[in-house]
Amino acid sequence: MTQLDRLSVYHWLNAWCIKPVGGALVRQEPEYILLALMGSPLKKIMLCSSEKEIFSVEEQVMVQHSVIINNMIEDGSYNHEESKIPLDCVDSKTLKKVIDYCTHHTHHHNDNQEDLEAWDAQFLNVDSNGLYDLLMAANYLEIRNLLDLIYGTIKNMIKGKKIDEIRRIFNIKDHGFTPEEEEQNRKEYPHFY
Amino acid sequence: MAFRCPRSTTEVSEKLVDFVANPGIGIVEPTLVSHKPNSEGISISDIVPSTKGEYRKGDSLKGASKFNSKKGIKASGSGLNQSSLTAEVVYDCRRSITDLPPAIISEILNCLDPKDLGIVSCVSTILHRLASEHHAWKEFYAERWELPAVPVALELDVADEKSWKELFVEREFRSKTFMGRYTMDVLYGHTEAVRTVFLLASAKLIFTSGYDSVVRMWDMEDGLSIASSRPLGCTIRAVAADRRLLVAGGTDGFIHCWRAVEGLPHLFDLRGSQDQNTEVRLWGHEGPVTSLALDLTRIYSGSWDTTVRVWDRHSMKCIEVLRHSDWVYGLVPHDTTVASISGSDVYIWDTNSGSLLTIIFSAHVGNTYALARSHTGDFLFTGGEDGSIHMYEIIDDGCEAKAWQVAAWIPHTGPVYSLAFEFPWLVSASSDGKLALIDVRKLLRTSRHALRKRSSKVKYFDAGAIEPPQRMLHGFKSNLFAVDIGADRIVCGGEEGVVRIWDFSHALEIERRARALRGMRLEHRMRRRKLQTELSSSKGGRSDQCSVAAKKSSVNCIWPNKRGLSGKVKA
Repeated sequence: MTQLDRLSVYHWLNAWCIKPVGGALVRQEPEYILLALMGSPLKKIMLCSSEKEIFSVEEQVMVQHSVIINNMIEDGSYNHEESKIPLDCVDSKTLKKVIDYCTHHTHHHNDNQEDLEAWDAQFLNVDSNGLYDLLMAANYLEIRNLLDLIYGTIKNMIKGKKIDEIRRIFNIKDHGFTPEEEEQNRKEYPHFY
Repeated sequence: MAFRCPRSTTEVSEKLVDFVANPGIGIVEPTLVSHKPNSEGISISDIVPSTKGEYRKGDSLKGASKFNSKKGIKASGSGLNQSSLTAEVVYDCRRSITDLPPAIISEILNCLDPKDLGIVSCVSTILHRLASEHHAWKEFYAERWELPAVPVALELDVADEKSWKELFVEREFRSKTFMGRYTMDVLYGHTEAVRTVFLLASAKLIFTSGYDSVVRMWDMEDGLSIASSRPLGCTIRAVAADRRLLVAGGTDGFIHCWRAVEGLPHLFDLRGSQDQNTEVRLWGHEGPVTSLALDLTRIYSGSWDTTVRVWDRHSMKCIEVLRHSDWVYGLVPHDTTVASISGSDVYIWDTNSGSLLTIIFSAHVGNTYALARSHTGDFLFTGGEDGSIHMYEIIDDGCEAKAWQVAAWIPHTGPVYSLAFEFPWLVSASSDGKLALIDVRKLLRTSRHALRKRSSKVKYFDAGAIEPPQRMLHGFKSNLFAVDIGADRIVCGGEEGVVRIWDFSHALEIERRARALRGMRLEHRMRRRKLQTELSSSKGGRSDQCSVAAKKSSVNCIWPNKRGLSGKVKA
């Protein structure tokens, strides 16, 4: 069982007639209860960035978000004791941010919508290079909700803007049109510029 | 400046200048981009636009026709990608969105709506290529209108193959015709009031019927009567058709069906003069059939016996009966759901299970007589006895469906008997003898964005954003019972027993011609003025005679007036 959601965990617990006992257990996340029962609490995996820096992350956190890592672990090719997952496309700074995102979303899964959105907005408060790096990393690791989040952000950056503004925001220095084409466009659609 | 586009391009661009309602989508003819088929040969390191420009000037007229656009774009695309990589090296500090792999950029573009997608395609050539060929254009088209029957092009070089973007932009532009000039045709033939009309755009036919119990078929373009059936025995209150089947429902509770005959230019043989295999009557209803609809496999009929019956087209048997609490006045199916109006309520059913998805109670004060639906099935329009029209959005998030009221209009002083919708126009026919045309484009846009959130927020009803009908067609003193819209035309039938067709298809050409004439006149005026000021400033005193002479001569040579030179100007 690699994809955990709250409902299925509760069903599982119910089926085995396991009830949380004591205040400590009640306050923990269901994923942790299950992990505790499975015997190896908070299994960690190692991710290696392109700069050869190693990050240790809880397995469940990454598995829940990243399809690539999920597949790797399910395949059985990953040995918990020894191996680390090399991510040569992702540099350390970005990997750290990605891990941060996944961890926060797993732990704060039950927060209300507005808090999560506020955190996301703050999370994406990076410069455009960082944003593109995040995008590439999320694409490589196939983290659907982070991808959607970034797409949404970029879409909002494009929406309602004029062409010159878009060129400025996205740093498109050479638009590639000939001067005649450009002038023609400007003449025809002045309200776009 | 050598880059004067060939005629076709100018036409397209002029069209889009007129595109005020939905401020134009930046369509740069693919030919403009294709003028760099040689660019892959260009040394990659030069990014300076002027050198590229020289190459292009030479080729400007060669690549003018549309058909090599596909090849041209692909060639230029590879050239540009390489140049963008060097751009990355040169401008090192900040990267550009165009450096992302195309698949990712495509995904980003997927989130945009048509206007933004059009803007993006003007931003840079890479984005232009990605945006213009994006599959989103086809989706935009499909959610608004029926997909056109595109003939399979055997070779890519066929000149007729248009990109979905062009089709979309064109169609969007054409939707403006309903604000323009029309020609009206009056079709005589029925001896009593006309209660139902149906426009079959794919076959260019109009079917009408009414109290005289005769179904008449008219040609949409000429307005001539093609055929009429024998009297069917009772008032016909509903007619529906597609290319294979024509159905008419009468007050005796039957549905009379005609199957299309192979080889007949007008599809249906109404007279029934050939063998009787093409005509069938379906019995089942216990009261007058008031509404009919067809889809690929089924016939839907609604009746004053408070039921809606679903029939299978192949077996011609009734497969489902949906019961309501009051007389059924109208229905519109979509996919696996059918919306029906009964009394003053609107019901939405799931046809697979026969269960009710949702009800809108008391949609109107008094009965709800008219129903229309958007092409995607998400939006419902209802017209009622109180003369008002309401618009609802159906949100179906898997477990349940809810209907939210989006807008309301009160354009009529009498009951609204019929509604018809083709994006973005809603037409209503009412007993006060008027037709109201409402453009719902802006409302649909805002609804879609609210829909994306799918949260539990209640959608509020912003009365301030709703505009009154953009146009009213009136002048008829009697009740109008039925209306349909399609193929740039509006058809309407009423108590007088005549069928009227408003033909808007030439509105755009008329508009363009008028604009061109106006533009020409303005240009001449400016030129004359310039000439005059030049003369008066350079020659000082003796300007009068010279300027008059100049005026006369300039008018003579610049303005080849169709009407011939007017008397005054002849020297």
